[in-house]
Amino acid sequence: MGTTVLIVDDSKLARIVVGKVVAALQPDWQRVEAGNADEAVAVIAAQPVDVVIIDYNMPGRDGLDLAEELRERFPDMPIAVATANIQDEIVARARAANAAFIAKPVTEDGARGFISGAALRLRSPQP
Amino acid sequence: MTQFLAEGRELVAGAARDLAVLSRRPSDEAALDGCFRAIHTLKGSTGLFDLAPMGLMLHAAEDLLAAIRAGRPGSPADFAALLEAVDQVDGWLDVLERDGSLPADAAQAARDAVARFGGVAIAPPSPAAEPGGWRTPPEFAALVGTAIRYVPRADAYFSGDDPIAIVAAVPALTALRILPREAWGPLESYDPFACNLVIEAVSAAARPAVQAALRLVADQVEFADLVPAEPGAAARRTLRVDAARVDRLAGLADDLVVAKSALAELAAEAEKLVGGHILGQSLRARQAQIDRLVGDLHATVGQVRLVPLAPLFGRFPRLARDIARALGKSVALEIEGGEVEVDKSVVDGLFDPLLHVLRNAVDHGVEAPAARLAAGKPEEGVIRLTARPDADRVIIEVTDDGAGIDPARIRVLAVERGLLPRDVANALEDAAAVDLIFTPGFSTAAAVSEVSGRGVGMDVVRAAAAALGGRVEVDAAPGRGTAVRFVLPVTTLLTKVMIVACGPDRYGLALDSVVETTRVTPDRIRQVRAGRAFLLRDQPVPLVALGALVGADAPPARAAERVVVARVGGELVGFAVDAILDRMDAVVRPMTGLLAGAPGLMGTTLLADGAVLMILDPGELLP
Amino acid sequence: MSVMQEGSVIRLEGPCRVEDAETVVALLQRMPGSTVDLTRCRGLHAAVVQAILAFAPPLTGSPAEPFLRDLLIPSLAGERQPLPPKI
Repeated sequence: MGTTVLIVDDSKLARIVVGKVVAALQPDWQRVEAGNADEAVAVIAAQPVDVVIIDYNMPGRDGLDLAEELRERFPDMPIAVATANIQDEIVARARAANAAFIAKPVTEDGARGFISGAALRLRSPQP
Repeated sequence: MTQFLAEGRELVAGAARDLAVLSRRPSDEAALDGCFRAIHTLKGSTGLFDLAPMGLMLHAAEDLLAAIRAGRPGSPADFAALLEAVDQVDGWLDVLERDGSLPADAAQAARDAVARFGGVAIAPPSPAAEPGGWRTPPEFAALVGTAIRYVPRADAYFSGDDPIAIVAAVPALTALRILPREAWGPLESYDPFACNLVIEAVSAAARPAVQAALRLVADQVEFADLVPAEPGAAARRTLRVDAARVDRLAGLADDLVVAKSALAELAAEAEKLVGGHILGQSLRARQAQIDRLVGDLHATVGQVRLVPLAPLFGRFPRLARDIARALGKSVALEIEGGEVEVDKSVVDGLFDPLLHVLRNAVDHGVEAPAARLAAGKPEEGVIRLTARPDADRVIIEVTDDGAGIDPARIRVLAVERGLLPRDVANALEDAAAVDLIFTPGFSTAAAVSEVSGRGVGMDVVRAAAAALGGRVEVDAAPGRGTAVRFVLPVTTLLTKVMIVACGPDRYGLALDSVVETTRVTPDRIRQVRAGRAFLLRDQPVPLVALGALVGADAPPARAAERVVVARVGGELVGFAVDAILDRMDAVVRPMTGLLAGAPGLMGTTLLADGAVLMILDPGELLP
Repeated sequence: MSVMQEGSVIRLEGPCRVEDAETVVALLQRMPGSTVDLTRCRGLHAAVVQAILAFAPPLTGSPAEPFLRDLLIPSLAGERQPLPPKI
């Protein structure tokens, strides 16, 4: 069974960018998209999702909110929050939810750490 | 272990010196700091070997010193107890060297020593103490800034963290240590993705900047502030190097300089070959590059041998006290400029001359206490040993506030000893008269005292200064004091030299004094009272034939004079030469032996064709 | 490829990423006496650094990147065999 990554961002353009980055780093991964937190939850209910990349700055529930909910439901799922501005309060919440950061605009170099860590985590039992 | 013993002995010696100072001046901050640092470093090193009793004793000693530094007055008993402890460490170092371990009674001896420190109010640890119980490793002891201890979680790689990249992004890193967090298990079952690292590092940046760089992993990082041991101390990473190896390096660097000069000639010859133009050009380009590299290498090697004067100067206070005591004089020695650095060979060669000058200062310079009081001076004479940098030279002075040197007396003595005929002596200016003390065979002591020795005169001091590539001068104000000044090169620098021809010979002129070269036609030359002068862009400049100065025959009349204009003593002077041949970088070796004191000769250097080129100091040649 | 083996030399070239740690470890386990050549290495993920620390192979080559050359490699080499003399 392949790996599926869910990309959550209210901007279609941003979703395309992240999609291209993931395709470059992990060509064999499946990519699915959602435009906000509620859509994301619906996608996860409909199909198995292994990795999630969430834009922080979304109307309605923000990305960290979604990350915290997903973390509660899926303790081991690799989750990353993409944001242009990493403020201290966000850092603390993300660490608490065990979510990684990817700087926006998302690039291959910026996402590589999280993606390879996620790939690692998914293929082998962790320590 | 050898390293530990060598360093240990040095530290013990330093601590003993400081404690000696403290026994006279209990509030001397420098000595307190030095002693504390030495004990602290010694204590740190004991952690590397199984030396628990030594560590225990040193810890108690350190606490006592900390308390005194924090303001508790130090009593003679305190310093005596500390000195006993330091001596104990010295003795233990001997046993360690012989047996490889501490003696059986070490634990008891340590307890006794600690008891002697008893009754001490231990100062609370300073606020800069490591938080969370992390003691910064001894390797970081000499550094300044913020120390970092980053222990990534075992699943760091799975979280996408790269702890090495995170640390690499910390600004101004000066040190890095990477260790396993837990022992490696059997390597056959090594798990490549379980993070097992502890990363310790030092950044010269202040803590806020460092914390900002690490904020995404803040929960896995500890910090500590590294405070400089003495104010203004820059972080210096030091190495112990065998002196013989450095000397060999320096010799190789010198030889490289000669060898690469030959390349320039080869390039020129290649260009002259038929069809050799392109090759010659390429050679020249490469030669220029090698030129630069060799220059850098030579300068860097020269810097490797630079050492501060402080250890040398530090030997003199006790000597001054001993000499003064033996001669019934009262003398205080003040030292300044120990941080000035010079080539190791200069330090090595300076002890004897400085000691001699110091002896003279105590013996002949500083008057007996009664005479001083009668002259309205304080009973205790002050001798100052100072060093200061001056461009590429260092000036080391020994001054005293004693009787000075009376030129009249020197003239009389010089005649008495048959060094000069009376009329010549009387014609000497005062400064030249005083300079006579450097003549071999001269000694002003009416009774040659045992301390100064017989037959060892200032001529030896002058020769020593010349052997180091410098010179020594004396200023004397009769009744007020004497200053003996050594002007020495800091390193064996590469000197830019201009090669000129005078008659059949070639000479080198140190280029840093050369302002320009020019051709002067006879119509611009004037006869003036002191000789000749020419107009350099409307400014009259004295014109001297270099050939005449070095004793070559007068050249035939020429259509124009080739003149090298140099700045000598602040004034411009033109030196007429037969031809200007070349320029080169040279290692100038000072004159030794018979020619050592010859005026006008800076030194020699080896030319690519094997000939020895004499390098002139034109200023000294002028009448 | 970032990890290449030539005889008893393991060459790390360009940026070495977390996945490369597995390859490096496998090579070091299979050929214990190997030397690791870092001349053309442009980056080492911590997992690769850790593998080098654990297996302590002799290191050779001086990479261009200042952090690697002046801080990382000396700290790896410091505890074990010295780097071959550069002069």
